[in-house]
Amino acid sequence: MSQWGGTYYSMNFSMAASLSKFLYECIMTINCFVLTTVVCGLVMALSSGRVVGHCRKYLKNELLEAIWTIVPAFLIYLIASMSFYVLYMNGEHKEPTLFHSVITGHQWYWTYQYAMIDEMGKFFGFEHDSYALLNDVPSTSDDDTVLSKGDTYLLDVDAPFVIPQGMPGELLVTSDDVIHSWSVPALGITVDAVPGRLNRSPILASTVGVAYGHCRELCGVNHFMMPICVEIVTPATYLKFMKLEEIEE
Amino acid sequence: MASGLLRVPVILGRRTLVTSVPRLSGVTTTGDEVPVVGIQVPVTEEENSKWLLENNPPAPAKKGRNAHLREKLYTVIGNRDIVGPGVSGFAEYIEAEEFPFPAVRFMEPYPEIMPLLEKEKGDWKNLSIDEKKTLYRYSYRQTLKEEYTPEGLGKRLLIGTLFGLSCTMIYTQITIDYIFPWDPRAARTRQADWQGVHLGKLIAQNTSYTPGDPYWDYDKGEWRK
Repeated sequence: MSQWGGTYYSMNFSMAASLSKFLYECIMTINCFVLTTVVCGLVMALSSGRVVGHCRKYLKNELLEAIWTIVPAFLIYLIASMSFYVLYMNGEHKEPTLFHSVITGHQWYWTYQYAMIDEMGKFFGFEHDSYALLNDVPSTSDDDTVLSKGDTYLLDVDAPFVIPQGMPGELLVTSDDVIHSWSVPALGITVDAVPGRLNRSPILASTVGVAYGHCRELCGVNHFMMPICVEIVTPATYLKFMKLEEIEE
Repeated sequence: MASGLLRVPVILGRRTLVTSVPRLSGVTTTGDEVPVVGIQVPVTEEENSKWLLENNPPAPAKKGRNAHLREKLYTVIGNRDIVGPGVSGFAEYIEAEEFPFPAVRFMEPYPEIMPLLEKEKGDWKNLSIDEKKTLYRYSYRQTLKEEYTPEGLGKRLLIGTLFGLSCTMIYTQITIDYIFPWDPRAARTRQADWQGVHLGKLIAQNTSYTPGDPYWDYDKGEWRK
């Protein structure tokens, strides 16, 4: 989660996000090189005397034309090769997937369905809704959507989505009404939730913690009020969670 | 013919405009006075006709080195002398650093300069500074210094950049001051004690790269005293 005034990537919880960050840094390096070169060239061409003063250097200069054709082509090849690598690495499904979740988007909340088969072959599955915490004062006596002290407005939810650390899993994302998009930048995942279709995405969280995200497809008036909160826990805690056992703080 | 608006010379039965060479007037950047030529004042038709007959621009020379060029290029350059090949051999006045000698002179011969042109054929030591300057302005539009003065493109770029930056900053500050406080539910979250607990949560949840606040007591949940 990025803080106020932050302009850089925040903490990453998966390899996919780290690879995307690496790609961003490489492209920014190339971008800075190109920007500096072009600006210096422009300043040199325009600074001394009249604009036509240095035409002799730039008119019919075949060497310059060759350089500014070949160098950008090479840079584009570099960027493309890196981004193809990241693209296919992020889309790789690690088999076997040890946990499965179905995420359904509604207007304007998320539903998470969990399914797991333990080592004995027993199936565990349940579902819950996830609403944003919006009010600082409870409107009714049993109002769950109240912010506790220290919660983040429009990011914290009443029931976060829980996934285990270090276990490859898969997410199946769909929608009940309109198109939504389940996106958690810290995990490097953005999956469109299209009604009538199941979109599959691999997930592998490498660190324990809490990651936040938002719906990324305009879905109505309260599109901003359906955040995503992912709690990454140890496998032992996840097993207790799936069996609905008591989890020690 | 309307009185005093346009003097159109008649040459060999054809109508030709009086030359399109710009007539400089007033003071240049170097402070020199330039002769003012070609002022049009309201006159009657009779005086206009008389002026036309007296001041009919001379026909292009039928003899001489460039006679064939003068005949062909009269409508383009008027009576200006052709003094060189110029850029690519065309009879144009072009000022450029890499082509310092234009093909034609800048001005047409006018009555006041004829004696100077004769004097120029003699010893140049007899010419005064002002006469030399007049002869220069007859052949060229600008001095080299005037030609090479920068046009201030960098200043324009800076103006645009700073303007955009300042607009962005003003918009951001208006958003922070007036738009963000609009939602009363979020107002409580911007208070110092809430922010302190929030920071402690970020650290405990491993959510963000943050070193924490040295003045916040994370065990007690209050500012250090």
